[in-house]
Amino acid sequence: MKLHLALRWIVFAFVALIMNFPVIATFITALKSPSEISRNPSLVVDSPTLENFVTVLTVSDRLNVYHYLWNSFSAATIGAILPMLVAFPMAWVMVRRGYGRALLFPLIVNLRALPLIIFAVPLYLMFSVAYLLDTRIGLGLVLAIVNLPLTLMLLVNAVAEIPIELEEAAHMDGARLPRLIGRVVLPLCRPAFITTFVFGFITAWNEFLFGLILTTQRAVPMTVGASFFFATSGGGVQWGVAAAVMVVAALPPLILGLVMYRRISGSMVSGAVKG
Amino acid sequence: MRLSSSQENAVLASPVVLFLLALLGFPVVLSVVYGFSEANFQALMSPTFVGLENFHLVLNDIGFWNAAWFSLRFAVITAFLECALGLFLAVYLAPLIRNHGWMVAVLIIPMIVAPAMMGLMYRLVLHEFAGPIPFYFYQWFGWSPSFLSAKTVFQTIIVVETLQWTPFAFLLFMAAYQAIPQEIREAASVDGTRPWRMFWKIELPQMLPTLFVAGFIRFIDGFRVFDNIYTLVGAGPGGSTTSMSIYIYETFLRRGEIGKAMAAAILLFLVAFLVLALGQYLMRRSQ
Amino acid sequence: MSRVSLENVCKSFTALEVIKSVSLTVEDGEFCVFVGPSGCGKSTLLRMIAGLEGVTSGRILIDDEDVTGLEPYDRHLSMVFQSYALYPHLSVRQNIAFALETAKQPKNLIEQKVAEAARMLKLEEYLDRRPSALSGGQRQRVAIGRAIVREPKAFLFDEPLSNLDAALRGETRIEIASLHKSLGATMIYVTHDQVEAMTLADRIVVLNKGQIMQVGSPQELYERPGNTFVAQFLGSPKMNVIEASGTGRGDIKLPGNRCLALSEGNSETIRQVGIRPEQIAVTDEADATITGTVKLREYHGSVLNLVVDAGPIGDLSVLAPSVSGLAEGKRIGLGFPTEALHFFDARGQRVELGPGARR
Repeated sequence: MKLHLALRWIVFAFVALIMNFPVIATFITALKSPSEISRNPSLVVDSPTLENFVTVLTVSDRLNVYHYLWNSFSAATIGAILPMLVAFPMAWVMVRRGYGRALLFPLIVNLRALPLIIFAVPLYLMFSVAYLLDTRIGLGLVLAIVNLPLTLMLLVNAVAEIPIELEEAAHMDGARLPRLIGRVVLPLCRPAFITTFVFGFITAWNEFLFGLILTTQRAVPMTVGASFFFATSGGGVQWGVAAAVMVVAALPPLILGLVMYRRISGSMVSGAVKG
Repeated sequence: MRLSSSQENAVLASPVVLFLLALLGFPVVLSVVYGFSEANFQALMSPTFVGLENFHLVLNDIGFWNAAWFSLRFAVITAFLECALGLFLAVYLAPLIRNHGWMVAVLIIPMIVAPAMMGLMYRLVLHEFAGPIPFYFYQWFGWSPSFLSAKTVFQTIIVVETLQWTPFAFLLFMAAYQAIPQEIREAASVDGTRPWRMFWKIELPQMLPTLFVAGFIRFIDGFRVFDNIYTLVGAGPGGSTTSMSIYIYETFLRRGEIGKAMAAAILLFLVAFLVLALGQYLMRRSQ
Repeated sequence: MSRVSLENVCKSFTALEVIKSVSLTVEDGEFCVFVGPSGCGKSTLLRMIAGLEGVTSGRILIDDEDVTGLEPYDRHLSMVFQSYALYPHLSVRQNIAFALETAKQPKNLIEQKVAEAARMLKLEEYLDRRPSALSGGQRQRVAIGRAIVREPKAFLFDEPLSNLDAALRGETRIEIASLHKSLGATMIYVTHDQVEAMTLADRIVVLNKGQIMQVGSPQELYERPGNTFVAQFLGSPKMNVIEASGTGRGDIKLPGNRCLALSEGNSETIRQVGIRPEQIAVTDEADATITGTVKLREYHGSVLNLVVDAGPIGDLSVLAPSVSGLAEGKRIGLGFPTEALHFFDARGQRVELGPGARR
């Protein structure tokens, strides 16, 4: 029995190491000085330094990390909140009144499964007409589409979990629709809103394809910006700096995700199983 | 003024409907227009109608078929590997996870990192001079495969994708495994069922619907893969890693063949739609 | 306070008729209990009065005003739910004040009313707690407090005691009864528990399969049940109903050629005779025309609950004092006092004997 358990721990440690290897290795590399990188690619750092982070965080005019971070932050915020705003009323009418259950809901949920590239090309054309190319708002709007299906599903689950008696009690207490939703349904959905926001924010932050196609300069998000550090324009890639950039870029979703891993994993499961 | 309840319904559903019409309805119209037209970036606003010409071009392009074949192979292999590995981890680690919830957090880290970043990180990790993996290969075995060469790149990206998304399958299976009522296991073990038989005869059958769902989702995600392949190797040596998504991207932005890209996107949509409908039909029938 | 009337109210879900033409008036200040087996439509009927369920046909009136088409929030009723339905995100105080705030009452009035209700229901110490920090009985009282502060036209209770344990149930039952006395309010109360129905009601409405079986005071229903359903639904253990045939003369034939002698004539329409277990007299075998063997004996402390095999008449349940010391297998005689008999026709409807047969 003891041996069995020990074996399970070993398997866990091994799998965790392999799956997270690129993250670990990138973090370690970010702590190496440029001269050490060229002679020591191993995972043991001889003389750890924060030099690379300093380079990344002291603004250089060509590749400005703060600029990318701000773009990602604002676009991801729009991309997480907007779908919640439009989907919440829909979630309520669908659960309580059965409105849109036949067509609208399956339509939206199935969007999730379509390859994003299908939308990318026509959205590019539309954005070029609407002057939304290379803007944070434009990117945020697109990320909102990406997040809409899962947001709707999570909010539908949240509304469905409210006991119907509570809404009936509010009706009996004289509450009409606005008060019912404002004072009873909304507060009860708050935990779901937080989960949905975090989930949507992480998804939006991590999005790459639309950032690549729809932005060129002003609204370039962090994921795309990070790839610029790998472009070998004159000389080789500065691996230490590139690694530091990736650590900075991956940190916001990682922190959010690890703090809330229970809810995140829970919503991933319910999003998958109920779709 | 008081609204009737059907008016209320319409009002409450209107934001999402308007949102969809604006951000998807319009693009759909554009897709159809440009799919049947010839246009380029110099004359973006003046497409000329060419009928089925674009579809003809796409269907006769060997690159399109190669991309489709690549995506299909990629999706099937990764979905299978991810499900197998995820199922094993969920069941094998279940006794530990019951008491140590944090283990889940450690295992889902790869999913929280952007696939694009993952691709970039592997670029560093696999780099022949700066990367630790080739370094340790040389140290321990005296040689190292060149991971991103035309011969091995397919295997490499399969591994990259599998390692990043096995946690997803793992999560689903873990939830399904925990959802099996403990009494059923207890009843079976009182009846003399040993662990191996328990898994095959009791647990696996109950997780079968989840297995199907996980496999289907991973297949779809695998088929539309873009980010990690693109940041790791782009279209790959000799276009060997051109997935369907990368094919359309390159046709559109690199070569500026708008109509052809749009036609390919429409074809992809139709195939995806068919696959989705089929998948959901099967899922409904099995329930 | 108000009168609530139902006029030919019907309700059907697609093919299923849940309520079949119910007409009823609950008088001002009356405590009316809907009782019946599960699935009889009693909760549906209550929810239709509340406005939470639509009406297929018929009218619902509150003080002669037709409210059939009104939404729940326009009917000015309050309801106590089986699950209490307290708002989990609001404190006890906010829960009680919710309806008043909805009606935009002045702040000091709200405070005053909440304080009053809290005092009445002994909730003063808990006003700032969340419902999750309360015991079942306290939650129940908050639900009642929420109902009384808005001074509704009538109170609706949907099985409010079924989530409480037995001891608390009895206590809360008494509290509700005294609440009804002190408020003098119209109350409509749904339960499947006949003890609650008998003890609380001014009038009981017995429902079965979406129809009213009988309406009356607890005593009326118990002593003069209008049909075999009501006869057997109220009372525990339930009434014995024996096949019989009226002869039109002074006796009634029972199975196995036994006869029950009556002092008056009877009706030929009689097909069933009912008698409550506690009214069957246990006598010596030798003295009785009807005899039986004790088949099963349940000791209940003060009484014995017997199942007696009475041959061709079938099994009868009989209550006997514990001191009688009857054992299983013992032969006994059974006496059926004439005044304790109930008569029913082939359709199970009550048959009254001629005037003077019984008051």
